[in-house]
Amino acid sequence: MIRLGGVELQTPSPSRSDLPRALRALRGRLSTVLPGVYAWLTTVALPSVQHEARAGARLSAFFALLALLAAPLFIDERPRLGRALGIYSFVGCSLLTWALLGAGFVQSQGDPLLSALGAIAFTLYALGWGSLRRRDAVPEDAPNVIPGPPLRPRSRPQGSPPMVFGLISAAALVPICLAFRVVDPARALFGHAAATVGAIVSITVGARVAVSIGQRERLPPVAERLNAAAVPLALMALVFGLGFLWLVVR
Amino acid sequence: MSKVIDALSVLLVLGAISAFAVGVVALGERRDLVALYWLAIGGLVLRSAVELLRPRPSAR
Repeated sequence: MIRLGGVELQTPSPSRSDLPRALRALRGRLSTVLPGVYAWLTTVALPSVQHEARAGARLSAFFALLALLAAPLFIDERPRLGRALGIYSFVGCSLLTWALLGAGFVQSQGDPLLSALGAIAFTLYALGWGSLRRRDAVPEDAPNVIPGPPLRPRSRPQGSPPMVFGLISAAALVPICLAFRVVDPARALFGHAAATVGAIVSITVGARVAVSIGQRERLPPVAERLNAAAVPLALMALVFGLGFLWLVVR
Repeated sequence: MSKVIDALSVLLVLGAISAFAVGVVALGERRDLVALYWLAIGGLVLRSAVELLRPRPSAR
C-alpha cells in the first residue's frame, strides 16, 4: 500500500506471472553470459595463461570475468550499472589484457579456428545485450517515441523499385572494383576506404529512393522536396563551377 | 511532376556513384586533389538525393 497525496494506492502483489518473467529474464541473461564466457575463455583467458604474460594482464583478465559475471546481477535493479559492467568494463578489461599482452599476443601461433570462434562469441555476446520487444508492447506507447505519421505495414514492392535498387547496387560495386587498380599502397588504402564508404552510402540512399518510388503517397509535395534539396544542389553547382573555373585557369 | 523528381533522385544517386568512381580513378593516377574534388562532389550529390526524398521538417 502506498500513500500518495492523501490517496492510497494498491501496489500489485507478487503473482504467478512473475515466475515466467523471471524465467525469461534468466534466459536473456544466459544468452548474454554464455557467449561472453566462451569469448573470454578463448580470446582473453587462454592467451593470458599460455604466454609469459605480465601479472597486470592476468589481473585485468580476471577483472573482465568478474565484470562479465556481475553484470546480470544488476541489470534488472540498476540497468546502468549492469550495462557499465557488462559492456564497458568487460570489453575495457579485455582490451587492456590484450594491450598488456603486447607483441606476444599478436605473434602467438594459437589456433586460428579458436580465435574465429571467439570472435563469433563476442558477436553473440554483443547481440545478447540487445532486447526484443515484448509481444504485447505497443512501440508508440514508449515514452521516448518520436511523434510522426503512423508506419505502414510492410508490403512487397511492385514494378520498378526492385529494378532501381538492383541497378544502384550493381553500380555501387564499380568504385570498389576500380579501387583495385590503385597501385600506390597508401593511395590504395584510402581508395578502398573511400570506395567502400561510398558504396555503402550509395546503396543506403538507393534503397530509400527505391522504397520511396514504391510508396509515393507518403512523400511531401514536389515543391517542398525541391526546396529542401535546393541548398545541397546549389552547393554542388558551386563546386562544379569552381572546378570548371580551375580547369580553365590551369 | 513527382515522377520527374523520382527519376531525378535516381539519377543523382547514379551520378554520385559515377563521381566516386572518377575520384577513385583519379586517385590511381596520383591526382590527389582531383580525387578529393570528385569524392566531395559525390557526397554532395548523395546529400541532394536524400533531401529530395525526405525534406527536413520546417521550423515552427
